[in-house]
Amino acid sequence: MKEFFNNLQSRERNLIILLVSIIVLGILLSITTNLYSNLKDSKLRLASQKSDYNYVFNQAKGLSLDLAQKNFELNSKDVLLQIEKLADSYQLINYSYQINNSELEIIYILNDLEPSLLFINDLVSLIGLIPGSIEVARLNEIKRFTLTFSI
Amino acid sequence: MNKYFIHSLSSNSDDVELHHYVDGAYKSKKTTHLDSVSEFIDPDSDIFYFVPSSQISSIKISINDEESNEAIKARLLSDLDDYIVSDISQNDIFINRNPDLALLINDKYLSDISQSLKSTGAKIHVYPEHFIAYIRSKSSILKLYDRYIFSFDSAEGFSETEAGLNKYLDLLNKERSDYEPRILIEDKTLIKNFGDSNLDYVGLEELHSGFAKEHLTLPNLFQTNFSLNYLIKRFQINKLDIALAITALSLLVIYPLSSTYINNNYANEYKNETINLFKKINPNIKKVVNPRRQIDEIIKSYNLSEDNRLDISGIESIKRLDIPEITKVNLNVDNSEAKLTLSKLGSAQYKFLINILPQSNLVLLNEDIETKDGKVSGTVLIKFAI
Repeated sequence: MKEFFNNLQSRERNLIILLVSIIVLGILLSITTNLYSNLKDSKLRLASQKSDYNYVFNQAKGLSLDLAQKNFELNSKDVLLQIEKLADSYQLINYSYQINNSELEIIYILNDLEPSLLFINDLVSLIGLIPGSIEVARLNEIKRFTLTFSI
Repeated sequence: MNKYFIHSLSSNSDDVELHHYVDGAYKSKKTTHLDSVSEFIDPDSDIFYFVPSSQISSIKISINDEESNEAIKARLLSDLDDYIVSDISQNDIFINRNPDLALLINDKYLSDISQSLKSTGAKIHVYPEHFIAYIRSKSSILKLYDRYIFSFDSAEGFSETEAGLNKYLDLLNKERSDYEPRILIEDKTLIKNFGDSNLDYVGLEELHSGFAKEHLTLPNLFQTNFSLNYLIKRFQINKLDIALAITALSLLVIYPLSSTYINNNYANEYKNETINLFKKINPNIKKVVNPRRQIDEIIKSYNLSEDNRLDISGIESIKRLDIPEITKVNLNVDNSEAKLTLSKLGSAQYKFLINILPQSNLVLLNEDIETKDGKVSGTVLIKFAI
């Protein structure tokens, strides 16, 4: 092959080198274009799947809250028992609740802020309601939380 | 700028003599083998290699301006069938215009020279050695090493060893009786033959200097065929450069491949999690084609209110207000406001607190405070900027 190439005229050799270079460049260009086209497609697919997931998640969360709210309306006693169990699991101090004039008021003491906020989130999932107000009263390191829900 | 002028010590051997010049000034002279020249020459140099003229057939030709080089070569080959001793196909033919000249040289011989010179990575010029005399004076005779070099008006040339000189001179007298060369070296035989009226003794350094200035009008026999090794040497590409280039090219390929793979994996994960969400809502759902439309249909079937608030605005801000002197935080989720009750908060601390409110997406609405002994007490109303 090498001998065949060397026996060619200089012009023929240059033409062959040019042709091979163009073919190799073309192949490389095609492969690279294909790779970057696939990358672009995958980015679009990811964005689409992520957006779909977030949409479905938010809708499902709304659905879950709505169902929880309906459940609370129908079985408030059972739900309040579940909240008590939840309060036990969070080791809330002096947990109490009272229902007055279409308002549910939950009072508890917990010194750590972080678990207290987690408790509020779990509570919202259980009753499907967002608290209208949250009061944090502080005496030294003791924090007393009062959550008020409109029911 | 380094310049190397390389001459063959003998027409039949590969031993050469290197003459080294820096910015036109003579530096050194070295004798070596042609295959070893790369040991002495840097890639940023210019090389002038002189092929013994006895190895080249130089033929005066007549050229029409419109005639292509290929046509001239074809005409030359048909005219000179008997003239060239070796197989014509084994020769490279160079056509030069002004002076109109054809140069024929054995392609393997030239290729071997080119290969050896390419190993230097330098800029290469290859010329018949009689051109060095031709530049000085078109008709001239020079002696270098073991041979006499003859140059003619038409840029033809030849070289002959001392042993064959008399025979060649006889031939010259017969064939070119009007040949009146300048004698560039002191030589009794030449003076005897051509007389002493045309003497122009000149040193090799001066010939090199003149040639370096005027060589561009002459045909360079070096063929710049593609050679990766030569290019690597020529552009002084070292292993680090090659490694960097390979790394860059690899990244160019690996980046889209890996990113595509990761994106597809994440996309599949989101897709699976979306399906799982549907299965949690209704385990009988087998296929999710258009998740948005499907979840909307489910929501519609449950007859839910469109505006279902999911976040407790401001709840995260409570963490930022966890200061002992803020004795009460009353967060009104519905209108995203909070009333802070302060008790003996240091005034500097209070100023700092007020200053960092915007950074925490909080806006001061109202303050009802009093400062006593550098301590601030009272109430502050803030709003959560959502």
